Amino acid sequence: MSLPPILFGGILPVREDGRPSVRRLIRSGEKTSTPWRFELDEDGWYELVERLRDDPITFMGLWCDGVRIHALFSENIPGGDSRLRPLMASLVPDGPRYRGLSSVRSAASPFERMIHDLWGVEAMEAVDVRPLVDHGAWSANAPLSARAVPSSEGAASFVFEAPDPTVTDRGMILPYGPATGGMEGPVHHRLGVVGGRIRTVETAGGFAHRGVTARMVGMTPAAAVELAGRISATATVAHQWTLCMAVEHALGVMVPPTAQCMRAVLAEIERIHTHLTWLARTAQAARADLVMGRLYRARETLARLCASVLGKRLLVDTIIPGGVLLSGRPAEGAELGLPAAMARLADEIAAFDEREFPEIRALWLASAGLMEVLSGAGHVSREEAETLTLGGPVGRACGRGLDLRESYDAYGAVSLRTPVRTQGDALARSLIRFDDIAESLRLLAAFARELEGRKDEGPGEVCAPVPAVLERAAGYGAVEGPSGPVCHCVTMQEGRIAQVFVADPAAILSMTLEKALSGARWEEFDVVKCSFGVSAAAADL
Amino acid sequence: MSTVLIRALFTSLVAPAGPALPPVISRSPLVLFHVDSGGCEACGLEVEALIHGNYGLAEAGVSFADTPRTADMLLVTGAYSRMMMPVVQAAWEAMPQPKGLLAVGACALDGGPFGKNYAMLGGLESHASVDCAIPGCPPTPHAVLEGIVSLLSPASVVRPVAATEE
Repeated sequence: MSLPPILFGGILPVREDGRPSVRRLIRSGEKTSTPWRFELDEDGWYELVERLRDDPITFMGLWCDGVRIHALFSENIPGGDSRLRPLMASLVPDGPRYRGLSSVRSAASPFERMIHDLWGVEAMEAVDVRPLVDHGAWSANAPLSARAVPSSEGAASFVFEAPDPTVTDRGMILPYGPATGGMEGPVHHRLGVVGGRIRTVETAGGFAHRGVTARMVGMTPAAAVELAGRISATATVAHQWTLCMAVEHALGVMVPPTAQCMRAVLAEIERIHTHLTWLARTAQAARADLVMGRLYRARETLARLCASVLGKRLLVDTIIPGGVLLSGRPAEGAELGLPAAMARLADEIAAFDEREFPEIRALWLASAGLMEVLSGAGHVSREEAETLTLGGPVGRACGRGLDLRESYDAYGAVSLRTPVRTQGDALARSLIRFDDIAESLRLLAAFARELEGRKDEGPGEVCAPVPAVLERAAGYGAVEGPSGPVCHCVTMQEGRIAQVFVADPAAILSMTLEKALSGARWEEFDVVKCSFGVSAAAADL
Repeated sequence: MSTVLIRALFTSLVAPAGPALPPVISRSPLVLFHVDSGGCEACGLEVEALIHGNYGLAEAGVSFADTPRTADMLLVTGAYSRMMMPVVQAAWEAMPQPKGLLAVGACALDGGPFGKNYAMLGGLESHASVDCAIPGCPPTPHAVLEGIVSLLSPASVVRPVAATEE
């Protein structure tokens, strides 16, 4: 099978214009007990925002803990390895407002809106001040802050912008969701359509906001990881692994190589499952029933294979701090050791590559109607992808070949080839998903061989003990999930979670989707939406 | 309004003091309308698998609608968020009589891992009378089908055998 060309970004020359870089600016702040976190004062923060305008540092997330605002960056060089090199700047804001980052990093926008809804702290000079998850239906305003005010409960009231004059004159408003009868999570889209083309798009989320991060506070790491697995079913392994990585980093736990390899197997299975889901939904939206049926059946076969070895169709509750937990295995799995059972599973799934997968892919490419709808629909430009630092299938479909997997130990032995395309439309995104599946199947075959060689190892190699550390400790983790990089920062105190920050690509993808939809034909709406694969649950947290 | 018993409210509006309503299920095929009331979407994935994964849904006399107006039962997944409450109520209101409520997954029952807080109401159980509850986090498609089939013929639970079951 031929692979698309692999693109590497050029390495930017180090800028030397006399002004300190963002990196040095943050590092010049007050040191904290966490080696990668620095406290800035108001002036330093303001300076930071100004410097971000022309500094290539990668923005990872922005959160609030009630007292401080934290901005996380990754100081890796573009074109270098993709390992997360965290650098966190913290600010104690003077009053309930701070200088927002969205004017210089658009990807900060959903974080600013989330902070405003949960903590009542406002971002100044923000590009978007609409509420993200709180639309007035909650039992309190700014529920997580100390100043939370109980609010009169009632139906959510959405504030939409006044419709575009062209839409009011010659078009119509088409509302979609949150209950469409489909299986996607609840989200509302309000489309302004003129002459059959979408002119304005407004997304209202928050229907699936459960307050996950607030619930994790005070939990034991194991319980918090269980909950992290329920942030979004389409990225359950990614979130479990990321939180475990963060906890392990905080507590200094070394995960045995066998367990690392088994986690990688689970992550690749999840990638295949999620890609098959979104491909099938895209085919369904384009009414390509034949290929849809094949994709759903392939996904079902995958789920049944998992059930036969792991006792679970979906991979919730499979990763625990220190290693992996595979309980509820049927008798046949118990006879084999865990690594051997996993090796067999990976091997059986990898066989899909020879049998069915090329056929489904060929069928997809031969479905003329489907290709017609997908090609050119929902275009995302390279510049936009750069500004939003898009990763995952959407970013890789417009030429950004970022992949956190390159940096994990588990993938070191298997030579990863990240597929990249440059067209940036729905077709490129769907083909990236196919390429991703092919790559995952190849990786699974390699992991199967590796685990086969480790099958005689004892249970200590499957899960390392996690020490009870009472002191305050902070850690971070980042994993390449099916729709892009997932990042968690955790603070532990007395063996429990004191604070957790979660960044999922869904919120930024949802923002990109809004932009990509304008100008599309309205019949393409569902197809474009499915090609982005935004999980409402992950966007709302 | 959050603690209103949806079931009681709407039943009382439609049939204030009439004779007992006929059994919930009287039509075949049984038409379901799915609403995700705010969860992790895993139950939705499994219901999707039930529809498309050769479980013999049509043979069991079950189908899914894309509007509540033609549905016999409301299939709710997710932990019932405050924002989804009016949506679930509106769907319920739009359904013709007789109708039933099907809660799929631990969340839809009692909130599961997502109990009551500022944004969630913690499941349907304490807000409405659920006609069929399918526990599990997430339940398998088979368990969901079995629950639905047990509604169709409560006396003898038929264990459906899917065409491609291994």
